[in-house]
Amino acid sequence: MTNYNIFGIFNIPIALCILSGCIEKSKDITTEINHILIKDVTMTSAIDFTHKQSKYFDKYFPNISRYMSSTSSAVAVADVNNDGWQDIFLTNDTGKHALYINLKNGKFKNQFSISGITTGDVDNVLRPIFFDFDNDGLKDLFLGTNKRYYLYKNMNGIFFKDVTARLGLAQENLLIIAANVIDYNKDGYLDLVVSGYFKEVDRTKNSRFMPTTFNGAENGGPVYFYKNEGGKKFVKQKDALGIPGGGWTLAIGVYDLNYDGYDDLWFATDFNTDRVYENVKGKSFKDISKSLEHSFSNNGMSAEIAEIDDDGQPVIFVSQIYQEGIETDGNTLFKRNKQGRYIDQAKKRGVDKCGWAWGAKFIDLDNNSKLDIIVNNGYFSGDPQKNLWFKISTLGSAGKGFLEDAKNWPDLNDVTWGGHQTKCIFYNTGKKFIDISKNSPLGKNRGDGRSVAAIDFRNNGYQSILMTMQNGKTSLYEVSNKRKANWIGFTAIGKKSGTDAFGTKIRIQLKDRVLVRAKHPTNGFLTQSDERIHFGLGRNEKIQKVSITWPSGKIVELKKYQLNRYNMLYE
Amino acid sequence: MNKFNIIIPKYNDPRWILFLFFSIYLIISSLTPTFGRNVSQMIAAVATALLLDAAFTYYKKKILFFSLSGLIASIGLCFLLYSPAVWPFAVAALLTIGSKHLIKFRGNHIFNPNNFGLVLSLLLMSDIVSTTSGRWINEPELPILFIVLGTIITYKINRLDVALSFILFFIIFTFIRYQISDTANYMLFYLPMTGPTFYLFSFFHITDPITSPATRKSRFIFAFLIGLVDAILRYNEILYAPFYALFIVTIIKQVFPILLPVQSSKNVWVYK
Repeated sequence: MTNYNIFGIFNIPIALCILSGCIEKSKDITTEINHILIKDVTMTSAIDFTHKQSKYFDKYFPNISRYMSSTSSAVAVADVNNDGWQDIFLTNDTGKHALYINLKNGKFKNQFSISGITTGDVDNVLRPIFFDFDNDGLKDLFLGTNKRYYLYKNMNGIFFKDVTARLGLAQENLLIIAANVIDYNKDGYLDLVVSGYFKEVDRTKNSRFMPTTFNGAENGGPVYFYKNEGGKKFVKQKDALGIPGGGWTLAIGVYDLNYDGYDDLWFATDFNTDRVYENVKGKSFKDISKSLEHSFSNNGMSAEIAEIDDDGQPVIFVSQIYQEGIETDGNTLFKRNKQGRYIDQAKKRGVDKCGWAWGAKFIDLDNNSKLDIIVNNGYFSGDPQKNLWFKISTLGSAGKGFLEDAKNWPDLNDVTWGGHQTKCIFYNTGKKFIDISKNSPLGKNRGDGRSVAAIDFRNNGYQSILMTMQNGKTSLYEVSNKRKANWIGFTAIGKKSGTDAFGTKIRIQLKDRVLVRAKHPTNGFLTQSDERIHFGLGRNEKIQKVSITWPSGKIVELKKYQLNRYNMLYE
Repeated sequence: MNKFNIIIPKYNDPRWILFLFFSIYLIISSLTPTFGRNVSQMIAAVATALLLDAAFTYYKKKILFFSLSGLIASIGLCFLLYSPAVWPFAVAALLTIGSKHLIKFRGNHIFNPNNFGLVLSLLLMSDIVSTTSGRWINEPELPILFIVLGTIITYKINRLDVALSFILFFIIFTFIRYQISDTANYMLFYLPMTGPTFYLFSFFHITDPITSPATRKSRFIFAFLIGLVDAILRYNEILYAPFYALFIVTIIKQVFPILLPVQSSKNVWVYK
């Protein structure tokens, strides 16, 4: 059987581009980025990890089993043993997860076997988050799975103890892809927000648990909000503090979007537009999703948030699907305008097209002070001759009641659906981004990518790239530069704000710019990145002013600091 | 013709009914948030179509002309074509109206202008254009609305036979496709019939009185050929098969004028 692809005979935008001389512009960019070196160091770093997807995840509906277990290759980066070096946790459907301890020489050693972490009869661990729930100075581990939560307390920097039941995290029959931690009430303890992907049904009796439509479905999973009571108990909050369920949430981004001192929530939502919830003074959340009504999005996978324009306004990069002739929207880059509406700038800035995009991360590749975007992508890579788009489009055009019935879905095994895709590196040239992945190892990686984390595993100021693949090998891409650029990093340890001090914002005044970076390592799709706050400074040899805003509200001007190293900050 | 020499169609022209129905569909699609339609896109399509149609007519006949057909065609584009950008709607309207005036045979335009604009847009601008199939709300009321209003208009313009016979041939060819496939799930083959787009196509896209054949017998053959080509394209997993099928059959129609005769456009829009 042949494929659908009869598109792309000729392309008007390409023709216009050639006429307008954009090829010439591309040449200039190539020259500009030649100093960036990206090298695959997976083997030499001794990260030998292959994610294996559970094949028969859903025995009741084998046709969609692959879909149900398609988002379980996750990564969490943290300094687990407090030695000042970043370690890595990777998930696997086999239960043989990995805890790679940084040996401080560019190599890692897998110490999972002595970590005490076991995930029993759980088929998929989908969302790992390291956070210090009891403020004892050690990173504990939350695991969201397809059946329940796990909370492991870090006992000594390497051994973890299961405290799930003691902390009151009841077993929920949820498939948890999206979860995050947020100190919503600024009591210094990180709370937990979790969103199920599917609604809870007994699949032995009910096959109607798939989305009602591909555009505007509201029959997704519930949202639960757990308040951390002094590190002793997590208490489920009534009505999730005002956050409704029903969304097909794939990622929850945390950021103080309105600069009121309280972190807000961005739900990257599949099959519908995203949802945004404003934190009402640490008491509840207000749905302000209407502010998105002027920008269309439909396949939100990742909510990665940063301030990239030096104008005091964060942008939210939500990875989406782009497929020529079918899904033509692509990624979204939301930014709030003066009227308070979020407007998509992705097309204007050249970051909309990256296939079936999942994890995304803002990384300053060449420490030039401008944040670039790395995107991991690809869904199912199977037999390229068996392309699923036609069948799925047929399914999508069906009437109500047909799409949500799992029995009507085609067999997803051994097919290609947004597969065999190469990864994207959107290099920030100022207002616009240019994809420079072509000649890099990322441009050759055709795995089914999921998460992407930033990690400075050598503590040398370069943020390297860690990418996981569903049913494939994890890759570590070391970033370095031929051209010298200054940088500065900060490790923020809170007191009143809690030891993690997630949400800490640092402002750096340069000669003619103000850079702002915040500590939100757990944003993104199935990803936790190096939590240290990092600034590329380019050729700047001097900083005019450094000020820190702690989550507690305390603002401090830093007098002593050193360039080209990580500086310790204590609240 | 009024005192300004602007030609406006008579009140009993059935295209006013079509305009009313299409306006209803446009309102429904505009009120559906996930449809992704915005006012700029509508203006781009409608303004381009009206201005271009008027310009062509003025160039040929030196009269000012309010193009009801151009208005209907451009509204049609607004709910058939999907693009996140604005400019493709202007290009699609340009292709639609351009085909009406430039691709002609014995005074009649050959292609259904909407179909031509849509298909060419899909082929030329595939990086930013797709169709709205799957973006309509999938409540059962919508296919029912398309069927009811479609029956009214196709009866008035004497094309109900095309719509019904295409649906019949679709059922037959789909059964054949299911039989020769290796898929056990027959429902997957008939799913299009449960959604709104199928009826929009059956009642409003292939029933253009100017570009569909003149006699009942030839209209059955026309519907049979669209069903056959659609089935072949679907078997080969080509997306948007029905739109391409109509495009291909329109070309076939020109090759076999005896089998598929058309009538002069002057005799078409007559109120029954």
